[in-house]
Amino acid sequence: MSFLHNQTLAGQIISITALSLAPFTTLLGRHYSRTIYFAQMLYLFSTVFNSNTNTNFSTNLGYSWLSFMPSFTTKYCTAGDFSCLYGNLVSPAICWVGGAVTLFLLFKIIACKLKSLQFLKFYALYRGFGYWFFAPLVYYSTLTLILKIQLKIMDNTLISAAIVLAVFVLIALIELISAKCAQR
Amino acid sequence: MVLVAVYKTYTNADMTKYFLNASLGIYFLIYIIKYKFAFKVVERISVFLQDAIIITVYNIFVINYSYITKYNLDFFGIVIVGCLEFLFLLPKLVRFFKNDDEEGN
Repeated sequence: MSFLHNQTLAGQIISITALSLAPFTTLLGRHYSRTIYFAQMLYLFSTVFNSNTNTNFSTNLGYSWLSFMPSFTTKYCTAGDFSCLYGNLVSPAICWVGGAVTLFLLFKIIACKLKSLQFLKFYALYRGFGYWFFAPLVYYSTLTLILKIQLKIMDNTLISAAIVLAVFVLIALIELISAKCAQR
Repeated sequence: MVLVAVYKTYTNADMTKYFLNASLGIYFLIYIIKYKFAFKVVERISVFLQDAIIITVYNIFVINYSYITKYNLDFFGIVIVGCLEFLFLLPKLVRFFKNDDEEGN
């Protein structure tokens, strides 16, 4: 018998704490939040390594995978598609990428008048919100990609998963180049 | 995450478990050596502790899953990692708002 009587509530509290810590860690610590990654990893481990129907604390960390997030992509996809299955992760990812591009352009326009304004300083905080969905989406995309390649099925789901992975690789490359440019 | 996905698709690929261990260990080691910490020694020790907890809990998941359910080791693990992170975030947070106040004056 576990000493944690309400594991669901404890899981939700810890997940929300981890989600809140992520942007502040990237802003002030300039590194990723280990708490959010660990919470997401634990939830994943509980689904992957649990061969029985045993329940443990980690199974209640679904909030760290944005299970509570409303999805708008489900309105524009056919049932079974990647964006339909993982809409709660794909929707915030689309908003995040769109927001980053819009804010970058906005910062560049304002920086014409206000020279001290730097997008990278703001991005340090903004990137923290990206960690909310980054790892789970990479997991699902890789899983879908491997399964579809194994089954030799070439459909929309495979293309969507490949696009998601490609976008994340592109973001990582842009971040690396901009960080190197900022150091000069 | 990529390696766990690979593990899930190849359920008999035991090598992935150990490969995940090795890649986590190497990544954390490089991070501790290369990253520029604000508090050089204390923060390094804290990060080392956090990483050690993450790898330990992962290995308990792989080797003896029943320990996780029996002793709530995952709960204790994440609480310690979260507390350590918050502990080092707090002075930075105070300094951040203090600097903001000074700029305002």
